[in-house]
Amino acid sequence: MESEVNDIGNAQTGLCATQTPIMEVKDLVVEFTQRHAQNLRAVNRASFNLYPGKTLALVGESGSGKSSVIKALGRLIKVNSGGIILNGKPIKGRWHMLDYRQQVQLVFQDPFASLNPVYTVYHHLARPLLLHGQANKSNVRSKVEELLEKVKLTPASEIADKHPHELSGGQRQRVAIARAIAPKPKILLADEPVSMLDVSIRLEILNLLDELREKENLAILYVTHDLATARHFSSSMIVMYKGTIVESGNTDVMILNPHHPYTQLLANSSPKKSVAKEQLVKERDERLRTKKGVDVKIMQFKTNGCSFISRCLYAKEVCMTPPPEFTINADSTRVKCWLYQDE
Amino acid sequence: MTIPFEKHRIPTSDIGVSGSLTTSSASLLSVRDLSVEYRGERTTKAVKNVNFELRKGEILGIAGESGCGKSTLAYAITNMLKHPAYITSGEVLYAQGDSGNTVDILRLEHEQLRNFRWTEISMVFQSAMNALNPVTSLKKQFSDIFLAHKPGMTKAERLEKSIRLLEMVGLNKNIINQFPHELSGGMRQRVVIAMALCYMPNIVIMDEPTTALDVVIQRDILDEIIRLQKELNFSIIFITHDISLLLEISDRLLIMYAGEIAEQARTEAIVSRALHPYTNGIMLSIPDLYGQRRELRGIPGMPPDLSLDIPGCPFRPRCSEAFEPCSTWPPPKIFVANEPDHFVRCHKYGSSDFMGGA
Ligand SMILES: Nc1ncnc2c1ncn2[C@@H]1O[C@H](COP(=O)(O)OP(=O)(O)OP(=O)(O)O)[C@@H](O)[C@H]1O
Ligand SMILES: Nc1ncnc2c1ncn2[C@@H]1O[C@H](COP(=O)(O)OP(=O)(O)OP(=O)(O)O)[C@@H](O)[C@H]1O
Ligand code: SF4
Ligand SMILES: [Mg+2]
Ligand SMILES: [Mg+2]
Repeated sequence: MESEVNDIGNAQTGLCATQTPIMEVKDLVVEFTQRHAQNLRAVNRASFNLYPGKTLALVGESGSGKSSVIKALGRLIKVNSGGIILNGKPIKGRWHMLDYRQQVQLVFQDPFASLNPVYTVYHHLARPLLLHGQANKSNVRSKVEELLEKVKLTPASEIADKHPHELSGGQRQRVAIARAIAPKPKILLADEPVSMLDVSIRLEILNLLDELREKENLAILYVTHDLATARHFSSSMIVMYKGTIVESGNTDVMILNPHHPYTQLLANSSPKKSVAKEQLVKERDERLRTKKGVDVKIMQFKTNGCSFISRCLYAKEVCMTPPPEFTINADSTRVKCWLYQDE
Repeated sequence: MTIPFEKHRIPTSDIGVSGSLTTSSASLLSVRDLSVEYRGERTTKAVKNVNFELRKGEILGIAGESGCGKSTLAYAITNMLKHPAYITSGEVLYAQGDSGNTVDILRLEHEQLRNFRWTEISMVFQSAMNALNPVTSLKKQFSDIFLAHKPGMTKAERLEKSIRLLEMVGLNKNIINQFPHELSGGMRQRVVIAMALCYMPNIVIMDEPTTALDVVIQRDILDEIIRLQKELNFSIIFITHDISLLLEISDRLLIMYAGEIAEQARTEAIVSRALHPYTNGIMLSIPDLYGQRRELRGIPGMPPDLSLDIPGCPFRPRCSEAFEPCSTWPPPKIFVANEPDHFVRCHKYGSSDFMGGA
């Protein structure tokens, strides 16, 4: 578990006062072309930093652009504009992919799809170790087993010779994580790494990632739509809605006191273990009561204003105009919403 | 151990039948000694001697890991299992209407069963929203359901009823002419729920109805389900691997492990004092949105292969509290004193009479 450090301090750039970021993302834009319509902007001017030994959670609903951010940072898709600065060096055009991969690795949602069924675990891990110079022909077997032990897949010598179909979902995800950390990267981009796993297994995997973060000083971008795991496994959080970051800051502060109406909705929708039943019933009745109004709004609005307007309970006239820049709240969180703008 | 327990074993076939039928929360469905196996090269015992009651107007949650037999149990209750699945023991008694008659669903013949399924019990299947025919309009899909069961309905009546159902689950009636692929996952799931309510059944079994959806949509749908349940007063069996949902919405909970019910209790009792080490493990696996940030642990290891014979307690290899009897004897079913609905299957709470009694 991390200490309560607020590392999204400094307003515009999101620079941490005390630490140098390993990756800076500035005004990232990702667009997809569509056949019969204008480009779809999946990521709209996103800026944030990743720090060594810290986990940044990226949350948002389905289709909000989380995977697009991951893929852009993993250089799996084209970035339309904006920059990625890795270790102080801007990544331009054809920055050597092998070098980049050595430092930035990915873990995906589906542990079934991300491993090749015809290869053994050994093969999956030996390849990146050799490719990135972390092992040579003579010691690769022992390096593979070392890696398996790191992700707690034991007995390593047996697991190494298995095929993906002989492993459970949780074990496969551990192999995927082992593969990702094989090159000794600085940054791990994890796209919903546990959402396809059983609840009882999720924690084990997240604890593993957290342990690796600490031991290997990894910077982790943890994509999820689950606020509760974000709270337990990240120090900072960004909330994205329809491609735009609407709020960012210290995870705990944001969850306990969400500012943006969308963050509020997310927090309100999340399962709450420790809240009394009567309170939950009250909240449910309130949601059902206010929802009708929202449906009507969805019908009415089509604006270039705030993208959340159609679902927002607090929308006012000014929300029809493009959203403001970030406001910095007293608790240092940053929010993009007209409600927090001085008139 | 300071918790008072009554250490008695009740023969599995007469669990809680007589008592609850006469009370206000009458039993609607009584599952007794139900066992299912998948036959093949190796036989998988997916459901083992399961007993429970479903009462009128209640939400009964069934939670457990992937592969523990939740879906198999749901199919068995509705008598929908097909080869290679076989029911090897048990009955599913349904209290029909106010007549006091009970029918054993497992003994219903083809045609009876077909009617029974929509009008008395309906089911929202796991990933049903992806099973809607993508190239058939909703209007036609609703219409087909009505045609199959109530051929006497006119076209206009069918349309009107379909629209009423859509509106009932919070959808706009205009989507009636649309195709499933044009709808979001959340909307499709609502359609599936509307279909399950076509004939206002007394019981709706929902197998992972919100699992593929994100939190906001999931919450919307849960709210809707509960509103409908309150308005229409049907009973729900809600199946999911995500116990955190059940803690909020269910009245009682069954915790399934390796084809058996490891613990059964009122939901509040699970929250305040879960007894089975597995239940405790799951409770510790749920990160809380509020409250203290504390060390969270998952449950190490994997559930057992149900095609192998498991001596002793099936949870033993993963259990941090296992002791000698656990690897030898199947744990007895132990009822908790003063909590008639609460039982646990674990040696910790009493030794079985296989060991000479306690
Ligand atoms: N290859 C693609 N071509 C066209 N549109 C795409 C492509 N990939 C994503 N999109 C669109 O971009 C938007 C953002 O998608 P993205 O996958 O980044 O969302 P997400 O937040 O990861 O969602 P989820 O939680 O469902 O994974 C969506 O509207 C999606 O339909
Ligand atoms: N058609 C089949 N043939 C053989 N075995 C099967 C079949 N269907 C299911 N099983 C086995 O029966 C057991 C119970 O499966 P079931 O689908 O009921 O679990 P579940 O609890 O619903 O899991 P999930 O959470 O993944 O939906 C599993 O071990 C599974 O492998
Ligand atoms: S019977 Fe033994 S192994 Fe099984 S849950 Fe109880 S203590 Fe653990
Ligand atoms: Mg995604
Ligand atoms: Mg299932």
